[in-house]
Amino acid sequence: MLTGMTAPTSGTATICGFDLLTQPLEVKRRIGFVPDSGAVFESLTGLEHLEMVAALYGIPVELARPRIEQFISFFDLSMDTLAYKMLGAYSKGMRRKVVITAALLHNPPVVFFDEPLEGLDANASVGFKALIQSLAREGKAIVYSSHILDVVERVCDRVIIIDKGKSLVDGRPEDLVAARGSGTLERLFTELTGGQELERRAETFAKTFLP
Amino acid sequence: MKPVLGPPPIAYKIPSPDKTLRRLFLTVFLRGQSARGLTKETAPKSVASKMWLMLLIYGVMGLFSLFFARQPVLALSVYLHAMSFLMLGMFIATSAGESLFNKEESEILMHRPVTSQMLLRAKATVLIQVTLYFAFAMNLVGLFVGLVASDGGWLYPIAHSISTVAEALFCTSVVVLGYQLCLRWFGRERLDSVMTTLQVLVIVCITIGSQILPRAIIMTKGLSTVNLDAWWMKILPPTWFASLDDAIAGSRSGTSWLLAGVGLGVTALILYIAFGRLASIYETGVQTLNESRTLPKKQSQFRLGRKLGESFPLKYFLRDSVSQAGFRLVVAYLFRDRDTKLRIYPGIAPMMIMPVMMLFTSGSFSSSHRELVKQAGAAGSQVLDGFTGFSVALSGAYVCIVPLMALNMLKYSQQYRASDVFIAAPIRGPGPLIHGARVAVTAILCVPLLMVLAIFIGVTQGAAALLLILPGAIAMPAYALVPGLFGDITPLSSPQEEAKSASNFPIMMVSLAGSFGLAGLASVTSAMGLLPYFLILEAIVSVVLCIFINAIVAKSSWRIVD
Repeated sequence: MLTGMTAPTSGTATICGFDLLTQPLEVKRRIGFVPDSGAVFESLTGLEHLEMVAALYGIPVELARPRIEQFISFFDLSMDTLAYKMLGAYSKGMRRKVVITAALLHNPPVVFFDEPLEGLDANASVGFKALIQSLAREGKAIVYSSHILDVVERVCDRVIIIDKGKSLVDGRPEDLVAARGSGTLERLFTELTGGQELERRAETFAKTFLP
Repeated sequence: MKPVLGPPPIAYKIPSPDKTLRRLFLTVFLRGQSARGLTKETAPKSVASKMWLMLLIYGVMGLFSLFFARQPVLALSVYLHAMSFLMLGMFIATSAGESLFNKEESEILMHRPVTSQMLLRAKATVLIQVTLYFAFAMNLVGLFVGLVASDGGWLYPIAHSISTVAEALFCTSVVVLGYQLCLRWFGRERLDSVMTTLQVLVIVCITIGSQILPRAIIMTKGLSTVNLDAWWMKILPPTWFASLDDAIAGSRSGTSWLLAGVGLGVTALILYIAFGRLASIYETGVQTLNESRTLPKKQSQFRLGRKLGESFPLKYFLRDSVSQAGFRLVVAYLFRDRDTKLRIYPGIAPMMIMPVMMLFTSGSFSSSHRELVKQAGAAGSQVLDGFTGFSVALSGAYVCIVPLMALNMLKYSQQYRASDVFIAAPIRGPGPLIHGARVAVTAILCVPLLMVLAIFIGVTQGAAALLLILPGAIAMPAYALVPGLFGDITPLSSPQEEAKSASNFPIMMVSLAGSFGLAGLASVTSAMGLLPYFLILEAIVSVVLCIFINAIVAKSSWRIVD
């Protein structure tokens, strides 16, 4: 909803002081979004896709190209691949790198990540986690939505656990874990969302596979 | 890097989002949504290079306008605009759903600083751009015919170009408005199913119309015999745009000016409503795509497929679980999947209408020439009976091509990647799945079609004529196996962009020629009183062919995944 992709039924929201309902374009100019689907126009090359996205933010190709090259270098992608290969032929990880680049290309002050690590290789994941921590230190607001809770625990300053549309807890991860004595954020999550029985159920279920 | 919130330095030209979106959608149209197997070098660079075969076919269809040489501008233009209206309407109706509401696209673009109006305008512009290529191809000959029309002249090409652009705008805005009204009246949840049903109906009607019109023109030797002053002609949109031609380059009558004004006024009004007043509804529709939707219990066609597959006599043909799975999958897609429905039903509509047209043609032959033929005596009567017999046999033979066509079209799907599950399963090859799909199209499409045809022929031609449908029915199982000989037709296993290629054209041509041959043999043997022997012989050949082709298809292995 905050990205303008689904219509709100009620309430208000502002991003960088702009109202989501009355100033949607101003809001969209200030946000970047990495959807979990990793959707791209598969019939464009990576470079065409990024230049198209840059143009939608009013960035001329002369300015967009050096920025794209910076990201390509960071993500260890080849410019040849980016320029000549259609996105449909990219691996999931490469595609994800293009989607992340497309979200950060216009240097937005607010960035939404939805399961951004999916498909990234181990090195790219490490680099990406370092990148978002650096961006947060520079003053950007990073909204990171994920079910990989050990990563969330490491990279986020503030965690909100939402279950069935209700906010259950909100605070610094170490404070939340300490307050409940859960040990880890993952354990806290399962405690709060009624998943305590999961391990026992998994054990019982696994037994059904025995010959 | 500084945040990009204001305009960049003046030295650079700021890209326009509208232009960027238009370029994007045109590129996606040219390359297809997935562009599998394409590289930047091999991708089509223009509409002409991508659609050359279609443009050629449209150009050839435009030759029909030669029937109107030396006739009034209005008659020529009514024909040209009617044909353009049908073709443009069909193209826009088939393309609009996929183009306007694409889930992945909304995930890429809806959070960018673009409005839904900008998206809608860009998509409509590309649709109009492509339709104008088709319109130009179809009207090219007509432009020259207009020069030599009885009241035509050098102004005709200019006038007709203007009216064709207006007609393309009209068709596009009507389709867009149709989507918006459905969204408003039926709500988000039912939009998809309602629009799919409407789209299928519109395309089937347009397809049927496009089959009827040229034949009607040939049968009436041009529209000169049709009363253009009839009241119902004045309410048809093609007449409005034809009147614009007539007002500028033809008779210049007051009625033509009035009807041209109506056409331009209605087009302007619909454009305003579709792209102005109701544009915000489009945003709602696109946002709907991002919301999850559960299938109502009553719509579970997979369950219907299971029930059908387990009932007699289909159970006998679907003895193994893989064939059953193929059958259920295809039944579900035939009833549920929008893209499949939009491809299959309009695709087989001409096969339904052509036999009917043949029978009507023979009826017309009978009424207009009966006396002459009878004057020729017994030989003349034989010709008449033979022609009707051939039409009946051909109608049966046409229906037997339906499984072949349907299987060819069912090969394509937006979710083609999911077919990897077939390859991963412990199945030696696609044979059992193809068999299940074949049974599904035969049971769901062909048997009902054949029954409708039998009733129609029984009523119009008498019960004795029903025997002549049998050659088609007997050949159907063998025909259904033919696509398997020419490559992998595993259901839903190829990207739908490949469906637009012309690779199936030769198979279709050979199949149609085979149908003509079969109908010819059936009518000749019927005239000679040898039809029962022919049917026995055909049944034996059909069984042998089925066993032979089935053995080949059953041994086929999976194609290598790229």
